[in-house]
Amino acid sequence: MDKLGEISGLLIGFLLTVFVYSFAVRDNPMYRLAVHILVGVSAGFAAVVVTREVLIPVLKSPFSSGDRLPLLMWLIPVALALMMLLKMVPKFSWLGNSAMAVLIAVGAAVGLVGAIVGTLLPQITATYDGFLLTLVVTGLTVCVLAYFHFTGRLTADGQVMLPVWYQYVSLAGQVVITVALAGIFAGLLSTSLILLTERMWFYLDSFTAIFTG
Amino acid sequence: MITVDCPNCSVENSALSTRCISCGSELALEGYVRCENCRVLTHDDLEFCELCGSFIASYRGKQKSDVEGEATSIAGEMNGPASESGPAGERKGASEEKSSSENYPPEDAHQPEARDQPQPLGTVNVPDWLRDVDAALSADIQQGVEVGEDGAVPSGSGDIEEMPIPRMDTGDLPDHASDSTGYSDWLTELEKKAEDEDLEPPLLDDADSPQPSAESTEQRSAISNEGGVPEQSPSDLPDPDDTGTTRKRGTQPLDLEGKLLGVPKQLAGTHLPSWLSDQLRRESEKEELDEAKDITLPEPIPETVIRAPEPVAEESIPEEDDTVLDSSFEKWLQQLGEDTPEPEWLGDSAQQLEDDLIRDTSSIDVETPTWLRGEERQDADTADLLGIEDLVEEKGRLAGIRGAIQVEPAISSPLIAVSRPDYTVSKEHRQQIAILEGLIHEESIVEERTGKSIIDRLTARFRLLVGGALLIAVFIGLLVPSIAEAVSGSPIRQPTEGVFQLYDQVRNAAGEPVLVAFDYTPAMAGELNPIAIMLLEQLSNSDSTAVTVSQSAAGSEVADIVSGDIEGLDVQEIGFVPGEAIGLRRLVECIKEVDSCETIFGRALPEELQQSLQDVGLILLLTSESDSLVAWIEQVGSQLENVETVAGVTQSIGPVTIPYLVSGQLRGVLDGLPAAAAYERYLLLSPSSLSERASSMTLALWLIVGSLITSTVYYSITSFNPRSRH
Repeated sequence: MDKLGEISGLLIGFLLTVFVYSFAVRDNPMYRLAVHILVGVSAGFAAVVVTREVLIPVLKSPFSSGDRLPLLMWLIPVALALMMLLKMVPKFSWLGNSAMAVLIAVGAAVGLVGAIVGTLLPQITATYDGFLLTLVVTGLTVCVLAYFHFTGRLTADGQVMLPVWYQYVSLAGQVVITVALAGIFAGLLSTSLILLTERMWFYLDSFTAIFTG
Repeated sequence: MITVDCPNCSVENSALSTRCISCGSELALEGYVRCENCRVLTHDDLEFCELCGSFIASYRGKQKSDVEGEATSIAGEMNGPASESGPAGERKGASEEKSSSENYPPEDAHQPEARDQPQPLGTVNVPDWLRDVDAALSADIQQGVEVGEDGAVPSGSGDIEEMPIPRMDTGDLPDHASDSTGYSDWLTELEKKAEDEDLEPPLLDDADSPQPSAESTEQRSAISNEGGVPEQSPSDLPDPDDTGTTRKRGTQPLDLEGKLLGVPKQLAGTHLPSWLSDQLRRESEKEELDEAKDITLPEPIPETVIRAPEPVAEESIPEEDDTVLDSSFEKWLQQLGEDTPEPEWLGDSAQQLEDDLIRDTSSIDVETPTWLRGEERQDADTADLLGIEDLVEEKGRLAGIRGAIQVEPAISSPLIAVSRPDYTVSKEHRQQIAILEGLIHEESIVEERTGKSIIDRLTARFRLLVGGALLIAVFIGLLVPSIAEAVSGSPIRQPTEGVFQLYDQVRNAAGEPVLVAFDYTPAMAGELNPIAIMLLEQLSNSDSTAVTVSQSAAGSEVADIVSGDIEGLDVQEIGFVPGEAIGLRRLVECIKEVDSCETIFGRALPEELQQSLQDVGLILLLTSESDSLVAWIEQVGSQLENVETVAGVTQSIGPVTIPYLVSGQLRGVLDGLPAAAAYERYLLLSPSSLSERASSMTLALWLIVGSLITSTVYYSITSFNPRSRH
């Protein structure tokens, strides 16, 4: 029975893998089926985990202790959560605006502080690694940041023109961005191959183990 | 404009005036006759008025005064409407003729108003045709005109164009006493003058029928002998109250040099319609025959070809005078209808004449001018369209006018709003829609068929070929790893600095709780699970406690599965931590402060776990997403200064870890399967299946590189070939 279940699981997994792999030829219903299954299972699993790991404990916790203070304190986030649920009702969606505002504001503040303290300042202080190397890295960093500046002078024919020197700096930034993206793409390709290799190895090893006992 | 000086006060008056505007004395000129229609002075030898073109009855009265009087009345009836519109006009309907005949004006009933500075005699510019006439007349007079015994003037002698322009001496104008008794006074004077000058009275009955032959002969002789058109004063015109009229012929020509200035072209002698002249002739003949019972028929009017003078050139006619003449005629006509009684001298024959005229004229085949035919047709069409041709206004200001359109009801009637019909789709619309849809679909189908070229079909097959090749390469690498080593050498490279640092950090965390974060999904388990297993085994070997946590819902289950396969590993689970950066902040607070870590996100933490969190010596982050990596570093690594952070990531986000590795925020990194294979071979010194996987990956990578190079070369070559572009 365990083996049957194990074999069936392997077969289903193998078929789904083949279905996804068929996308290399063209889009087809099998691929669509596999993708739909993946999305559905992932969403369902996440919903179950959130409900079991977060919602139920949060709702139970105020009542676990006899103190009323924790209960009163938990009423605030519970109320905010219920207000956010009302966003699904168009007539009362305006009630969830306050909860959304609190959430966005807190998330933005935390993210901003973390970006400044956790990335910007340490990266700036750690940039110096030899004068020449630092100069090159700093220059390329400036070039990359200059590429994302699109404000210029409006000409008579309605086009936006940047200074000539700025155009060269932006061009250098484009080159750096291109090289970085190329490296990231190469890594993605490697990861994909690794995943393919791992899958192939898994099924090869599993079927071998099944058939060989 | 013809002007006349008053004999009493010498004030200039218009020739249309019968009395002086200053002293009121009667105005008259010898040798001139007042036109019964427009009251302008005209030579009595002319058949038609020089201004309005109406028939001059006095012309016949030279021979037969009584016939001429009747003819004048007839002509006046017929000329009334015609003179109103000028020679180019045409009478409209017998009723108008009747009204005009009834309103046939007496000689002095017309009182023209507002004269625009009547010019004195001798100062009016003479049109060219008059000059020609003057010259021709002079020549004829010199040659002499033979007049028949019956008084008939040979044809041609009456040609106005050939007759010279008579000249008038103002000093010879008759001296008329002021008279306020109306036109009968001038008739009285005319009788006196006739007695003096042996003038012929008009004939209306047998008793008074004169014998004009001798007198007319004498008058004609006077015309030919004296060398000019005899003049006739206004007093010579017949008095309707009298049985006879007298005429006085002047002997001196009227100087019309420049006097016709301002006469509109339409009234300056344009010929009468032929039908009118014919009718006049027939009427006169018929009347003569009818009157033959009671009166002696006068001699028939000799047929003379009298051409109407050429129209005055427009350049010689100032426009400002046209309106004066038009308004004067209009008012004159109005006054005729109001003031002028029916001439008594017509007697009972007037009504009979009128009836006969109506009867006869109605049967006349009128020769309508071509220019009028178009207007009539347009008017008729318009009237037909409007359907109001037969409607005659009975009251109001437009009383008597036919075809008046009622405007007030149209304006005052409420506007009926037409409701817009609902949009509907008819059968024809549906058919058109179906046709269009068919065309569209056909076009799309055609495009698809034409788009499937050989290259497109080969593209799908090529993709399938490449995919199959990759699978084969992976299989071969897994089955025969030595092939990859033979092709490219050892697929496992030397560990990097980050790998060494990670090894050191994990080794230094022996015996301490290690916070292990499983922030990846089962989709990335193929690359990160081997790394996770390898590191957990190392922790297990070093007696470290693994505190698992995950910000991914599926990651917590992956953590359970992976940690459960490691034997001897002490595992403590925090579970799922939501909220990303906010959740990590809460976790950090729980790690920093002991008292606030009893619960986390509603879950009660065991005391061991709380203690483990207090004693965390290392943070091992396993993730496949750069955001998760950055969040852990920013929110946790930056807040826990005494706790180091190491990361095991996929090869795709390996470059993202380099800055943090350089800055010291990460103390070790394992980026991908090759790094893990190197870590396992060189640091752990334990062979595993990672080497085989690395070999197969190396073969697949070589295959990909080869296909990329081949395709790049192929397309580089073909792009320079012009044939391949088309």
